[in-house]
Amino acid sequence: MVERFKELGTITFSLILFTLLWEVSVRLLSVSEFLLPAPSVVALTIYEKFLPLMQNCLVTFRETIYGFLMGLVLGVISAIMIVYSRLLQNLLYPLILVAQIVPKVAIAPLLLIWVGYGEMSKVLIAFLVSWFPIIVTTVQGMRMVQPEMLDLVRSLQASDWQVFTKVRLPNALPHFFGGLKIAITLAVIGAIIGEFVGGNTGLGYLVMVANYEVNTPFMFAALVVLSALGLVLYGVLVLLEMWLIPWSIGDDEQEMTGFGM
Amino acid sequence: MTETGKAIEVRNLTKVYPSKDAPIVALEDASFEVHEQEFISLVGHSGCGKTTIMKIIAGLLDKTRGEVLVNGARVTGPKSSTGIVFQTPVLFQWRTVIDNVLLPVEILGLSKEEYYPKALELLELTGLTEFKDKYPRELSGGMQQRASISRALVHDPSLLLLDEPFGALDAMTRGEMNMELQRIWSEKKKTSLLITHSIPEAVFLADRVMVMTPRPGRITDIIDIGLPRPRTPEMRLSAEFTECVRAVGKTIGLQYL
Repeated sequence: MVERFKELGTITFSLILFTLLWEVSVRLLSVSEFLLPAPSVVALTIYEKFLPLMQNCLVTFRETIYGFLMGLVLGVISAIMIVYSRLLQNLLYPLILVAQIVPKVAIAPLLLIWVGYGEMSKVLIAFLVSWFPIIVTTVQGMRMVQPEMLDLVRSLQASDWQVFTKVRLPNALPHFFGGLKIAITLAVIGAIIGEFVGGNTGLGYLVMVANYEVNTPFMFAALVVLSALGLVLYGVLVLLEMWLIPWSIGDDEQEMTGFGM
Repeated sequence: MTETGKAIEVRNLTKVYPSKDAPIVALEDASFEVHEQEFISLVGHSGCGKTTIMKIIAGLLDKTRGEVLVNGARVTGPKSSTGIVFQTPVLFQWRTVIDNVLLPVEILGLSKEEYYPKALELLELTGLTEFKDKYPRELSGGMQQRASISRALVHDPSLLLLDEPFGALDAMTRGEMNMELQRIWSEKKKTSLLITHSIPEAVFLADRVMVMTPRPGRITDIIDIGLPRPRTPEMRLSAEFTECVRAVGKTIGLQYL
């Protein structure tokens, strides 16, 4: 725990240092605000536009969470079907793979045509990007059971249900949480992509508007709120993981691989 | 207790694994008996079919030919009267030590309350009382393996199968674990079948040592170990002990012993 706090201290320090350097160099070199606003200017913009920023953040948050939860539920169900049925595996895997390989940015306009410009299209894109990592990691977790573990419970005449609940499911949990952490960050990106392509609310929409108006400080403000949203969501999952599966050794490096749109 | 006093009877046991080129004969015409409360060691080179024998006895693997009886009954599948210890501890990392020990009780649908004191007693016996609420990753390798021995005993099986249980431990821990296993065995008096690569370990613990040779897997010799019990670490240096080790080594084909 002490180690963790130390780590946190180092990270905070490097962030503060980075911000300070940014502030000082922008001022010293008198960089134009529309090219790169100083952190103080961005902070002021956030303060001034706090209400619209939060209102739009709430929209993006909602789209992200709904999409993520859809991905979670359907991902886990698909994973169980894939693990327990060869037929379903052969039916589902190609579909899932195709759904993953098609660039989400490219099918976003299509989704907008299908379900309209409202929040639903963003939810669907967030779902589409978060589904895949959850399936892959959950399947892997349920399959990667030490053979001796299965021998052990089999020697005790365990039922299939017992093998599932007492071995495969708990064994999958650390992998599953790894998948969730990837999925939540992707879900935020998914929602933003949807807002970029079409819509009139959300942080992604604000970024677009700021872009049209060449209002760089406001664009940065939206980006800061957006990053904070992603970080908070990720942090909540980390806390949930620590609380629900304290027995698991967090291996962040392993989880960081597998990113990709 | 069976009428014959025989815990395991194996007759002409043969196991052939089908393969594309030529079928692999893992086990050919193995025959032996294990008496109740006897400690038998099974030694031999890697891949000579030791684990195959154990798995067939445990009902985890089908035989090709022959007959296997455990406590007088033909083995047709896994039986709860068997406790197994593997080379690795195979502890469930999401369960605390005590919950790992109670796993067989849960799977067999027995009363957890009733078996809880028994699990505690086993942890006491293996010196893990103060670690009962720890997770496996907080334990050393030797402690983990002791927990897995406790787990193998909790549902009071009549037969204990140990598949190279100390193979992954360092030499010092291994010696200690040998003493520990002897103590547990002398207290619980479970019929035990120990598979091991280490001839001194096999000799130290066993009433009789069975020797296997590979390709095809055959039991070539069964050697009585006449050393008095309880066996002490000092005994490992005695002439009698060395003689037993040499006798077993010779049948395997080791010259340097």
